[in-house]
Amino acid sequence: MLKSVWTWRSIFRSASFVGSEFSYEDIASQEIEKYTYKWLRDEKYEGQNCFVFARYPLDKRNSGYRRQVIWMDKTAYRVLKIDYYDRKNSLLKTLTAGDYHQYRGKFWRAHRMEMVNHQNGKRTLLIWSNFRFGVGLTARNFNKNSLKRAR
Amino acid sequence: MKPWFALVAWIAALLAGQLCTPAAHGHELSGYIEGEMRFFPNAPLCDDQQNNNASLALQPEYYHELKSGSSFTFVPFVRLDSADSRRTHVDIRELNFLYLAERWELTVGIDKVFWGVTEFHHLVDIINQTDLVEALDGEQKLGQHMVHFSVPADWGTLDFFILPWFREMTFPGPGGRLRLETPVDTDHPLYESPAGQSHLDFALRYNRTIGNTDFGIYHFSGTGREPGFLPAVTPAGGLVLRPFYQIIQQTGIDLQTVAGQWLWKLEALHRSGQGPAFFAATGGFEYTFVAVGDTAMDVGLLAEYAYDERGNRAGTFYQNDAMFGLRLTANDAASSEVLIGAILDLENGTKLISIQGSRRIGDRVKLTIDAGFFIDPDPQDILFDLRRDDFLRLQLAVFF
Repeated sequence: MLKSVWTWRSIFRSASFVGSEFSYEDIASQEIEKYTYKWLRDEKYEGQNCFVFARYPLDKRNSGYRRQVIWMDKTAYRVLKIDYYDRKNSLLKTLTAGDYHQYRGKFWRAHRMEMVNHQNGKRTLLIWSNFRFGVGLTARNFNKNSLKRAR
Repeated sequence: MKPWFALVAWIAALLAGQLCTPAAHGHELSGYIEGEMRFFPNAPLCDDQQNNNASLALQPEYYHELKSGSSFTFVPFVRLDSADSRRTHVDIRELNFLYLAERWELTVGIDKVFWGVTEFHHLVDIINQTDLVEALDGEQKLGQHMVHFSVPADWGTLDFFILPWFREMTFPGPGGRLRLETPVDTDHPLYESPAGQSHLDFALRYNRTIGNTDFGIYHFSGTGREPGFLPAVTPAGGLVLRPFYQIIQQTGIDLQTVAGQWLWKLEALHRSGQGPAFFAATGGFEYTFVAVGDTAMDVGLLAEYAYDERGNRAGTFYQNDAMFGLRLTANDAASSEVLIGAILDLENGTKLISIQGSRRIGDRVKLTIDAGFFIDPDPQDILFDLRRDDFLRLQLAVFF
């Protein structure tokens, strides 16, 4: 337990998450307004009808990517695959997300994410479990006092 | 006495109400046990000082959370040291009950509170006394008795402290290294207040985060944590220094702001009650390069400056000093980190070089290595007494 509160700095968006092939921006909240988008094509991926589109980060200064190409299924808008292109626009990593479970009848969450780095040949498997929704957290749980004693 | 009685009765009623709540939420026992070796390559200044020491420390933590979110915490600490009878010590780091209400929080008991932002000199931090026998950097603290009322709100956080018991600074004993040449007589401290250790101290602090900036301001009224020293002669005829604790008024601010790769930091205070009133400040920046080269490593460059209006009369070595640092963060699964620092006295040329590195080994073990070198110590400098005390320290902690 750390008992200290750190200021998150946007320069760390592109930094590696604990030495893995995931960077912080890959696992941070994926907000629509953080990117611009371009539809590329529709195609089948792993037997599912998908939209294939590119997204371009608005925070060009701190993002590690020029663009990302995303395969999203048309039935439930789940991200199935992302190709990440580095700032020089060459293919850097590929994320495949699977083992999707639905919570509360509406939230889809991938329990398995695999990131393959094409440039250094390394890969990281991220396994998620014990998702819980509606546990009663409020903004108050995220003030400095609460964060300091978080366990 | 009447308002006091009312306050005590009210707190007792709160605690009784909470502790009688049957539905307990969780018990947790955690903590660490740590082995430490310190090596001093140079012969000591005094005959009774030892060359090396081995030491063992244990800090368990018991935490009990009630369904309401209120909690009870107990953190004792014990260290056994082979060379220094004063470094062998016991402390209660925390023993407190935290009551959480909708809009405020109350902590009663022994707790730890840290204020400040700078890397090298922890100028404005005042609630807890320094456990100096633990480490020279002053980052280890003794538990402080307190009633702490906190109001976290949209407009910032307001904290009010009543500190009913004073803790004396710890100092190495005759057998220990990293001490003043004249031993400090911690058995016979002097107090300005006739109430001594039971003088009631108060502090009020306001802090707020606005955009990229964290800001805090406080006032402290009570027994100064930093002692003065009065020479005295023991019955056996030896010279000792008696710590002298005075009543002070201190106002402090701390400020940190993020601007891209820059992190700017400032701490400043004004203190009266220990001789003439004075002003002191420290501040600087950390500039971070993320993912240097093709690695995951972050490199931080730090530069700070410390000023104390008291000059050489200051009880600290930070009176007109420049500090430089290089921080390497590997961003690996072992959380490997290295911080190399240099403190340079701009008046007398005394330098202190320090190296601190740490990493995890497996899930439960943490290895810390640190070293300190005292270079060109000036006879006027407080570090002159440490001129033979260059050291290498290895710590291996197992967490449970």
